[in-house]
Amino acid sequence: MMSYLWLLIAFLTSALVRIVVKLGSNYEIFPFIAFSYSFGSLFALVTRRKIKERIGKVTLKNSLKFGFLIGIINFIAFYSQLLALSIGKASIIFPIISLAIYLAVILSILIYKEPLTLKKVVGIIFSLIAIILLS
Amino acid sequence: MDWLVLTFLAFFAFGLQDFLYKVASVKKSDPSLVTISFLLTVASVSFFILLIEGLSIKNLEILLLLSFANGILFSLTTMARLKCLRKLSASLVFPIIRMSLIVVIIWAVLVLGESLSFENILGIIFTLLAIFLLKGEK
Repeated sequence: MMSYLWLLIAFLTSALVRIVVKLGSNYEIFPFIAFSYSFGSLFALVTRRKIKERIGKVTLKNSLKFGFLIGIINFIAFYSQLLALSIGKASIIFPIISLAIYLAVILSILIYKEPLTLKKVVGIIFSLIAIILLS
Repeated sequence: MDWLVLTFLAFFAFGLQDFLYKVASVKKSDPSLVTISFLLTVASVSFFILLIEGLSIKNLEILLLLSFANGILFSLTTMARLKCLRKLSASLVFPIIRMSLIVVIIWAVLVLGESLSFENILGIIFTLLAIFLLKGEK
């Protein structure tokens, strides 16, 4: 049940992030990213301290390693998108990039053998059509 | 570099980023620490570029206010993704989160007064159908 609550939070905050980014895109992009991510990491640090959950050395090392890797890849993705948008057609770029999640979905199904039902497959296909139409 | 090559580079990088959320969750990483490390990495690279380019900032107050809101929301959305990916499959989590586009479109219509296109209406219908089919799945 808690997992679905987190999913709902991720859904709503993801939408709000898009709205704020749309507003922020009217200003200088790198200062916006630099300040946003600094405030974000401070927020995560403050909430982490309040939880006071103890973790082992392996978890600590793994968490920092994944965070760093995700950060570098995120920056490459974001910068490539910015460069592509500065010289290419947004009407083609956005729909292609919005489908990137399906790469993660395919990799997760193949590597982690995630269970698939017919209902789920149809739901995923409908979500793909929806995302193309909404992008 | 050709813009289509850059687009596919962004496509693969964003896809890999999402997959790494899944890997980090499977490896039982701490969502808060992953988020701190992730956001600090991007902030450091961005500040480094700012130092090199030496950009001047206009409207600092508004930029800080929007950055503050964006930072907290982005931090929350990252931690929430990592937490739900521990129990739920990526094939459920990512499509549902991506369909939050529907909220942005409703906001654009209600707040910005933008009009809904035929494609948008069809997209909303498919979103609702997809959520109906995916609800209850793991």
